Amino acid sequence: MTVHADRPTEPSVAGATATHDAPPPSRRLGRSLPAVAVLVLLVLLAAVPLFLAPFEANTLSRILVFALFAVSLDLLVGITGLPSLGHAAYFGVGAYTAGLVSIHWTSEAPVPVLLAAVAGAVAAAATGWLAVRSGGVYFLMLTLAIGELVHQLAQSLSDVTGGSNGLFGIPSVRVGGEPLTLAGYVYWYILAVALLGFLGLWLVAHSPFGGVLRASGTTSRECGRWATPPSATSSSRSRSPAASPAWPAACWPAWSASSTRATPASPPAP
Amino acid sequence: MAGWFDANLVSILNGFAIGSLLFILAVGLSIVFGMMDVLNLAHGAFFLVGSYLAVTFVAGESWGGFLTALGVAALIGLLAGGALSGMTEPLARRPILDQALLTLGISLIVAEALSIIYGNDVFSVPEPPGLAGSVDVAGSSYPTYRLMLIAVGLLLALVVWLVVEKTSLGALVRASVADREMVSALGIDNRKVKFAVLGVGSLLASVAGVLAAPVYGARPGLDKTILILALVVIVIGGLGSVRGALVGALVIGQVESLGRALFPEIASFILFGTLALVLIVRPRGLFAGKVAH
Repeated sequence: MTVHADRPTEPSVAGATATHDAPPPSRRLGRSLPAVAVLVLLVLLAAVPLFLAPFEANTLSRILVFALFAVSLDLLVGITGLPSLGHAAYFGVGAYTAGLVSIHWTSEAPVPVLLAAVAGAVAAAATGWLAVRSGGVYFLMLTLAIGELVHQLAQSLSDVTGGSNGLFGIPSVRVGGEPLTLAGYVYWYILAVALLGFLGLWLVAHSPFGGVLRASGTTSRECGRWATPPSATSSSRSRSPAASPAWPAACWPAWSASSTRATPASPPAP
Repeated sequence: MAGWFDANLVSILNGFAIGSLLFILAVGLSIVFGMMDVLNLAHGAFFLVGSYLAVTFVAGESWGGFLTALGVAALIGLLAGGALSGMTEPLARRPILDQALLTLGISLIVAEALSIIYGNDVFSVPEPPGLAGSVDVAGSSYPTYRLMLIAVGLLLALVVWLVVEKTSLGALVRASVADREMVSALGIDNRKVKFAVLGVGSLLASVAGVLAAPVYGARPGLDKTILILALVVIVIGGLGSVRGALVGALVIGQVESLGRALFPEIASFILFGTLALVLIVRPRGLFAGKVAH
């Protein structure tokens, strides 16, 4: 997947098959280079607010959110081989959940993110149950339809979501009771959540479960695109990857709290 | 029962009008996919191009404008379909997702270009002269234009069915749906068949856009709505089947129209529920042909 090209922090997802072999001693130095690069990149990313203006920090926050979204889509498309065009639906579910929780209940740090992830997982389980009954191009069309349906739902439930105007006045995320209003602090918060997300996805991709996902993706590709995936694995596999886009989405209101609103149009098409 | 029928006659007729439009749209999409594995997600964008052409040529003012819009839309649709056929050619051996992403990207570009040209306003297009009024149908008055739409849809369905089932050209198309490799082994260039079918399919989409303009108007986002309806139609009908597309279109037309009239709150869910039901009972659609892929 092209997703990896600009994600040096996640080389493992692309090169996953290579990392299973034990490295010969001569290559150990070569192996440690990427680790050093990742470390340098992390330090650079963490230091960004110290030398960049708020606007640039905001833009980088946005990039982090969408990077996590892209990596989460890769777990579904690249690894599991399910071509989903409705991924943005769960992003939207997460964004609205985090926004609504922040407005009506609390914006205390982990709560909106965790609830958004739970809501995304529930939405994905409900729709994935149906989508995995189809395969190949039918899956593609179904996920496109699910995405569009969720979009229409967000626009029609204007009492809850604010319709096409979106949610107004989402309060800034709070850490330890203190609202994060400065762009640099918001950036650090999003960086922390995004890194947790990357780590989680990396662990899933390298766990035995990730192996099952990869294997089921490969076999159904080998067997031809009309092969119906076995229901049992496929519903579990659609559930967990699909929960992940809600995670970056939960950062979205945090990022947009001061400047914009969570509108149905804000997440891009898939 | 008769009372219910009378009360909902307008909705039922609306359902047939929507169904006619959806058939014109979906039949091209369905055959192109059945034949060539090209899922053309730009289909809805071609439809929207037709709708905006109806706005440009002030289709409602005179028959001249309406027919000009139809002609230009047909030409543009044909050319766009041909161009799309050329663009998907290098992707022929790649996974379906790659082609879908290409056509989705094209549809986003077209939609964005339309919104740059025409702005984000909602346009309404009046009916051509003589069809603007309404007539009495079994006691209720009904717009003449929509009755004509039903007639045009059924006529086109008949023409498409005759061409696909009764002519040698149609036999070629059906053979390509059933077994593409065999057809090419018999010395027929698949690319030409694909070029022609994609061209005609896109032509039907943009013509449907012009025909639908007096009913739906032209607005940004209409392409997505229409594309989803067409996809639902072919999922229900089964890919690559004319009969399936017709039945699917009529079913979805009724579901859409009656659903919105009787249960406006949950209309989208009824549509989705129908889809879910068909997928659970017949995962490949109601009329899926024997496809040798």
